[in-house]
Amino acid sequence: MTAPLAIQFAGVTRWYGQVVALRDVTINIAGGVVGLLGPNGAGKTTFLRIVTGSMPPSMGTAWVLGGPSWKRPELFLRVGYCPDHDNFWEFMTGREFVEALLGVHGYTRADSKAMAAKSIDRVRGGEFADRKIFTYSKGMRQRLKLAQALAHDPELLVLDEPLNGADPIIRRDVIELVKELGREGRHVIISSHVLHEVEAMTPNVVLMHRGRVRAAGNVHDIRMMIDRHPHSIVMKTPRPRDLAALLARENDVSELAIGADAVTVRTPSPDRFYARLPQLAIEGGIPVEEIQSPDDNLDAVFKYLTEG
Amino acid sequence: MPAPTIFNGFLGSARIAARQFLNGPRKWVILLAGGLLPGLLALFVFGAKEAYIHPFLQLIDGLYLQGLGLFIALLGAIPGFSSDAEDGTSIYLFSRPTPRWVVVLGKWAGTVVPLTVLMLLPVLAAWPFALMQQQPYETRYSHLVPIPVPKGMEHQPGGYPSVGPHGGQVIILPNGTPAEQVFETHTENPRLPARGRDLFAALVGVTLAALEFGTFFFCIGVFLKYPYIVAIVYTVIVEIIVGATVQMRIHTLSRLVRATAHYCLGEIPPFLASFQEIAPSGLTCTISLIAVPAACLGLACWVISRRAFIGKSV
Repeated sequence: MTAPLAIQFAGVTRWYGQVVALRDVTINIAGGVVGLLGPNGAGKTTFLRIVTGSMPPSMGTAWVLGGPSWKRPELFLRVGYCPDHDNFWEFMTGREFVEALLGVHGYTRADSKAMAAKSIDRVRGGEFADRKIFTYSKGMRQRLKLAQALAHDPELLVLDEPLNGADPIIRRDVIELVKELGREGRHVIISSHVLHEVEAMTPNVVLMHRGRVRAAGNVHDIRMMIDRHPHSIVMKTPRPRDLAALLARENDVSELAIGADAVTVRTPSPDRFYARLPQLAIEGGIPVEEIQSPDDNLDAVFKYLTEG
Repeated sequence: MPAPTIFNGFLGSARIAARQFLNGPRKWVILLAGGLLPGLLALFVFGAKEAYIHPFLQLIDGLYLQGLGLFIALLGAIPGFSSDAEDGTSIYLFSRPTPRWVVVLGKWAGTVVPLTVLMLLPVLAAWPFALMQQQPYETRYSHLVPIPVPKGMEHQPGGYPSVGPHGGQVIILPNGTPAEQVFETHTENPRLPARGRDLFAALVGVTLAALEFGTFFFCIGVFLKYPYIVAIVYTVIVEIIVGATVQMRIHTLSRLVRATAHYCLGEIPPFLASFQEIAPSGLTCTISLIAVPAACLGLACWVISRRAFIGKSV
């Protein structure tokens, strides 16, 4: 007997009023680490919310780990979900937040404390876990979301844009964590609109665009197309002029724009740029608080894919 | 790895809701102002002249249950499911193996139980004062109608038995005219031995009212992000417009609840009976105390179990 597929969608369509978010999606995902890639508005979050049973498909069937995802709470014994938004009960500390959610999960307070501590350590959140959440930076919030998703040791982890807005250190840590989870034999489905982030974690991707799955397979097949389009990266920093001066010396930067609290660069070789950035920031002593990658380059590729 | 249980999930949900409910100094100010102040005002502003039923207990009925305290407390404190859904925190609650209806029940318990305890505090705090101020006699003032002076007595001032409805005496003044006099009569306070029962009735009444109102507003919070919009409308319509008419006032829920508490104790005190005019029937009690909150809660569980949680992203 073979293990059930991690995710099976058959003709799944989901609409919100007049807006169709997913259109007739049929896909089987066996497992492992899979990147869900697509520009903003592609339907990634809707896909993941159906996977996690937050909403039912309007049409079609969605199965996760051998059963329907909707109205199947026991599924969450095996699934951990890290949503895309940054809302918490801000009056709690990070540790209390994870413990409280383990309580709702059904664990005793003693068990919740032990499990939360382990999970917080795993995401390297020990330093700030006892501070109130309203004092957290974007990166700390990302770590906290991961901690609550990992705390009950799930078999399938669903991560919705976990690198969005993260600083270079968090980015590196999350990528390492996802790879480690993959090595442990867990299924991880991670959404992003930045190919290079996904590529750093897994070669297996599902491409979505305008609510449809356009392709599924190896990331290397599409990166050739991606690289033909210059890549934009926005870095938030309190010292944009200093950072711009530092970046201007880099060969991988083709264009550069300075904003009030951010620097935007365009680069033809994003891989090298992403690899070099943490070192640059440390050497220059310039704090980079957030990195955003607008999806215009990916959107261009999807236009290429869909319109020829 | 320890095994999770549904009961622990219920408790976990209740703990989060209780923390949301009682979180922050602003909410405590609202709860204390709304909960304790009316009770304290009742004690110090209104004296305990009438021993038959302590004014504080009457005020619980008139002011506290129906009025400002509960309204303000509910207004500021009940965390709504809709606001959780709006800001996305409900996703954390519902991506758990605990069934949604259990999470809803937990949240209800975590909201309504602290509310009820807070509502009971002023009653308990006021009770020692009520005991200290109680009178052994009930004092009534009778306004006698002048009656004809008995024949032959016109010129003999003194006191004569009255034939008026309240008994007492008629005083004949020296000039031969009967005085129109207000008589003060003392009767034994029949409630004196039943003070404990009064307290119990007040506690039961407050508990039931808090459960009724709490559940009602909790359920509104499932549908509306700002349940106090309904609370304002409710208060304006029921407490001001309806409350202005005594005959209509008897139909307000809190009065019914308080009367029901007495009914369950096998007595309807005269002060309530006179307002109430009719004692609530067993069916009314059942509907008021069980069916309405149960229906509200059942509806909330059903709606939340079927609701798709849609965020801002696509």
